[in-house]
Amino acid sequence: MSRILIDLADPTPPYEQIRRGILEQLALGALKAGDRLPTIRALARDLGVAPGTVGRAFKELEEAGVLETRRGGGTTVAASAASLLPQPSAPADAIDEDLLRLAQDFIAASRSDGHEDAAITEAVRVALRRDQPA
Amino acid sequence: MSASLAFLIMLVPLAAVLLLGLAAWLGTERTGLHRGALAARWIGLLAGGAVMIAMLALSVSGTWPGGRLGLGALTGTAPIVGAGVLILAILIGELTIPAHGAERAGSLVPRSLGSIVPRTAAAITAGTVLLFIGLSAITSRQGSADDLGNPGRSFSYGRVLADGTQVTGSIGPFPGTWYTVPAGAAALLLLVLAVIAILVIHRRRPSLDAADALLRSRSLVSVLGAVVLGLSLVTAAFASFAQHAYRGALLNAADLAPEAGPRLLGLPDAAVAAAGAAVVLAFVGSLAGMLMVCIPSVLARGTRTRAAAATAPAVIAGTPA
Repeated sequence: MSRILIDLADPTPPYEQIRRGILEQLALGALKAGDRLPTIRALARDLGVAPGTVGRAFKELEEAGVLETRRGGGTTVAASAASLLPQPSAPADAIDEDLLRLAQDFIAASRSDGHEDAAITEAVRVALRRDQPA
Repeated sequence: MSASLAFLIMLVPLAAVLLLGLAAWLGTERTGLHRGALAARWIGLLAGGAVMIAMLALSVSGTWPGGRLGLGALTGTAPIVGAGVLILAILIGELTIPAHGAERAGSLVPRSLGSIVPRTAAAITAGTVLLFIGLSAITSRQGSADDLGNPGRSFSYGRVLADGTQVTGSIGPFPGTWYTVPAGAAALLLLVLAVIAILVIHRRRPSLDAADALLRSRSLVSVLGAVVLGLSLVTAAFASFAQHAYRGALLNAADLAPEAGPRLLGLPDAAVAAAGAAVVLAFVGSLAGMLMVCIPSVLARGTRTRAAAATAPAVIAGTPA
């Protein structure tokens, strides 16, 4: 099930974390065009933030063409959302081969343990954050 | 008290201890019960069982209460009240799931009740409720006043045969309205409590566990299991007493009119067998309910619940590394 996490202790504003989280789920393929999102109130209740915070994230994504809201139809992922996602900062052939090999070994071992790609990505992200230099 | 009912009363607490012990041994991963949830079930089953036994003892002894609720009228409500205590305990255990730190999780999939209640659990619950209602309706209709004029406490019959032989008698206790009305009221309150518990579980803030939806589903199975357990115990008791009354009445009538059958007493031919079948069904239901409470993962598995599609765990949407 597609979820986002926000960290209220993070200096990034919660609405920005929500906005990025939705984009991340789109990039990972956990959200697809046409998928319906929960209501602003329901997501705000889940995250323990004000509805306005979620509303701002949804509004910015709507203005960017990632989400669309229809009266009575809720908020859904726009058909053109995938094309609006930011492209990877580095082309694939610019990545160090040794690093790529390490990554592939890690991915293979993780998949054989039954982990899904989204979980593997998150684990790398969390590990990088924990090992941030002081 | 019939042998089958006595067996059930002895077996249920034993089953509870065995299943909870098994759940503790299997661990969280295989049962879907985190530590708080498992502790809640221990406490709930012990407390619910204690309340049930206390109510039964007071009700049967005639010590409390009196009036319309005396003479064992609350006997049928005791398991239902016990189930209500169990539901409260399960709910408290659910609310011990940590979800209030600085890190918060939010589902991007609209969460509907239909997506987190396993169909099998819902079907078992519906079947249990229907069996309880059906049996209570039948025995309520058949019940009559006892020799003190208390309505719905006995199964009475009076027939005059063609040769003038009078076949009359009365057997009790019988699960007529004296017992079924309080039990029905308690059952209604139990269902209301279950609905409230389900709504609370549905709406609680998600934990950081990537399988939060599955944990939620398993808690719902346990709540439904408590309903199934409580109503099944009552149904088994009512069916057992009804079967005992039918059998006794038929034996009495046979003494006076050897050719007499159930129809002489206004009963269907298979009355005794049907009551016996209801005892068996309710007995199986009580074990199913106990299993749903203690090891809900049996019915709420990761690959079978509709809510557990591709599990994409949470993404930390904070400052990138």
